[in-house]
Amino acid sequence: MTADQKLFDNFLYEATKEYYFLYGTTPNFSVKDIKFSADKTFTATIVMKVEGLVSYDKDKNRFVIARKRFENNEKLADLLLPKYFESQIEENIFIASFLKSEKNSLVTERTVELVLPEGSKLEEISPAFVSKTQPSSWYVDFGGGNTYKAELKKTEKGFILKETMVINGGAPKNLMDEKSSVNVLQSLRDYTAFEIAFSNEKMKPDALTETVEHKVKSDFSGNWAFSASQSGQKTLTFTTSTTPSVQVTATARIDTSLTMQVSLLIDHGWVKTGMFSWSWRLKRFEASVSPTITIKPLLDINVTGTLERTLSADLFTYRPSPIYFSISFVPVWLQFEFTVNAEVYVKFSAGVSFNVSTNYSHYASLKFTYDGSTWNYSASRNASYSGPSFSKPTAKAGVTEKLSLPFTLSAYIYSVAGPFMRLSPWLKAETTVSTSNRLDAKLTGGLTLSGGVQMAGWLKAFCDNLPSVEYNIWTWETTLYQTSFTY
Amino acid sequence: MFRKLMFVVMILLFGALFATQYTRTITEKIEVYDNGLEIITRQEKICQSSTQITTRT
Repeated sequence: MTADQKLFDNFLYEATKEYYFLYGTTPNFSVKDIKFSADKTFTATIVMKVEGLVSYDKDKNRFVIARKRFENNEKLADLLLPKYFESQIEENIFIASFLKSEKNSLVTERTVELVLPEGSKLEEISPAFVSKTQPSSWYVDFGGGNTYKAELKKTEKGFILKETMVINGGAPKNLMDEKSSVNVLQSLRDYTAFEIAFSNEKMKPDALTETVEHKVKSDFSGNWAFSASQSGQKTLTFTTSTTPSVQVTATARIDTSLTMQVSLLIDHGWVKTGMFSWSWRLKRFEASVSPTITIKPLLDINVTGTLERTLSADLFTYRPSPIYFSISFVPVWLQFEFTVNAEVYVKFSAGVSFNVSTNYSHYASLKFTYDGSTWNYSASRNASYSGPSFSKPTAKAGVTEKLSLPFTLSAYIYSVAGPFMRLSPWLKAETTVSTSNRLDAKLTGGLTLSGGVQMAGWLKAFCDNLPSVEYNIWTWETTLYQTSFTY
Repeated sequence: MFRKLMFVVMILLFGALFATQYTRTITEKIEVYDNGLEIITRQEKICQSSTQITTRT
């Protein structure tokens, strides 16, 4: 229930923010005002109540509805315009990630119809705020085929605004270029910025409602940040064997528990180039992933002859329920995924059976940062082991066996892009015949850690166009146990 | 053999040309009443993806 409320609050904040930027007031709605239907087409209908949409122009004795007027307040517009640009860029970053490739696109057709009260007389439609664009058509070209297009038509009762927005997974080259981004942002600032003036004898200026401010009005942090965590447990036994002449059974039992945290940050860099004019660049992108894992690899070997072989198997993929959040009206989901494979190398000089095991605990926190020119990472990690055991082999024989359990832990937006970590714990048992009645046994273990970020869409283009980045971070190796057996 | 090769070339060509276009339709009606109340009804439809041949260069 709390999670649902949090989800709805996030949606309400994001959805109403868009209207606040457009009309300078915040609509309101509850869960009851949303209706969904899903057949071949998914349809969502929201009914919102709005106050303060209409203002009164005393000088000209008429009523006004304005889009992107920013309360005609220069100081406020200076603060709100970058927030408006950020919301548009962030929305498109997530849409482009979903699309995966520049070949794919999302076309949004938006029709806005305004119906004035009965008896209204439409007097004028004029540009709003600093816009000089005649309010009939607008065009924004982000580059790479990413465009916004709009047309306005007067009607008897008000107006109809038709917008076509095309976003694909390719690079928005005009936005990425420092100089041309000024033009892109100016056209985005003026895009559908107009006001409509009308008169109505029945309407009383005193009866008009007041505008409702949005929290974004006092949030000028200049970045978008998100963090989430999830935990789960998985136990699995994997058995593999070879046949027919020589038989080996390698049972690798692993018990894992996982707690994972992820955070993402998009930091916008603004350079003021003039009055209500900016140049844009991605100042910083950060992705971090911090899992805590306990794992118990165990090998139970039973072989009836001499053998040298590598056995491998995909163990499992664990995908807990996704975490949802909204960017404007765009639903975004974050999918945690935990994939484990196993590989066992065995080399036996004679038939023998025994088992080995240990407990590993591992914590790592990896942060990957793109600062506008290069990628960096910072890492903190810790690993420990306990309770290693080595049972007495049934025969005095030279043996080498190694179990590797490579993990991939990822936190991907739309299952496409995001931070990931690869962890490969391993366990190696070796015996050597030292004298006629003595067998030396040694158990070694360790792990390797690497990690990075998988990129897609606009964000991939902003971050040096790297498809992904992966760093080798840590290699740890130790002798877990050493003993001798007498026969 | 040549026919098989042509088939592979055709498959590769189609793979390069086909693109998925997702469509989203938003219809918004803003009704203004003379008592100072305003209602926005927003309907959003997301259709199934359609595959089309593009002429991207």
